[in-house]
Amino acid sequence: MHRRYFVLFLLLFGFWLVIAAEADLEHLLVGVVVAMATVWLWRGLVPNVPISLSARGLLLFGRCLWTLIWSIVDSSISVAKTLLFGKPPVEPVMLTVRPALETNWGRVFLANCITLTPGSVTIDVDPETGVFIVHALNPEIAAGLCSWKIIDEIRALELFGKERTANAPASGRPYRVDSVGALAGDHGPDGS
Amino acid sequence: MIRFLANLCFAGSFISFAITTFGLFRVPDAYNRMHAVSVADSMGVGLAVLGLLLLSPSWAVRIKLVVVLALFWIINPATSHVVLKAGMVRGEPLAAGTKAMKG
Repeated sequence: MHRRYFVLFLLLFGFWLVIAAEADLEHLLVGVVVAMATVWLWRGLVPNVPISLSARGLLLFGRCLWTLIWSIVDSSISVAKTLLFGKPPVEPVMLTVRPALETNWGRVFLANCITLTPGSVTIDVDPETGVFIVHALNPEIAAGLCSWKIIDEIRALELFGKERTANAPASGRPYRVDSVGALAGDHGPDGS
Repeated sequence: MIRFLANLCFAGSFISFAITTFGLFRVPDAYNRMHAVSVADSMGVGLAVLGLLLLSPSWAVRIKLVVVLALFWIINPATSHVVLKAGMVRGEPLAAGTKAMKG
């Protein structure tokens, strides 16, 4: 457990060093104090901090990122054509879709990707049913969302995370809380 | 060559922002205006950062730029979602002819 605290501290301190203007004694001291205080404030998330990076996990995440960047470029051109020349015309659609994702972080990630891609905005996600309400600029974009391959890629990441959690040693907590779920106010089966 | 590519990225970014500004006046309602804005937010900012990455003098600056882009691409969709959800909750009307579709 202590190792996880230390890894979180290192991550935060590294981030501080990246954004700090200089690396003199004053900045280093402030960074150490702020990183330690942040670790203490967010100690509830510590059991979920990954202490090792996995090549397969990074590869799966990289694949999602590549699909996302390609979709942003492709959709930007399509939306630009609509805005400039009206082809295809603006025919707004309110889409209700239930992607095959199980975890809160997977749904949040997909909702983020949908909104980041021009032409579609996630309005709401039902945490109970996993139903997404999406506003799309035209039916083509809405239809493309339902068969978007990033959904399968996020699903693969979810399954990979599940495998790792199943093989990981017990964290000592009475129930498993993923970090995004904790932020969203998820609680354990006992309601605590 | 690098400078030329960077300038190409900046030109692309400028065009994205120009299309967004033009698009704001072309679409019928607040929900669709968000689609116009997302061209600048995703493509425009992405190209601007890519151009700056090409011109960066050191890795420290490059890492900062990537962090800036990552934060932008995380925070921006979240705020877009909150604005639209607020519109929905407050009863902001949808454009005439908006269809409902089930995926």
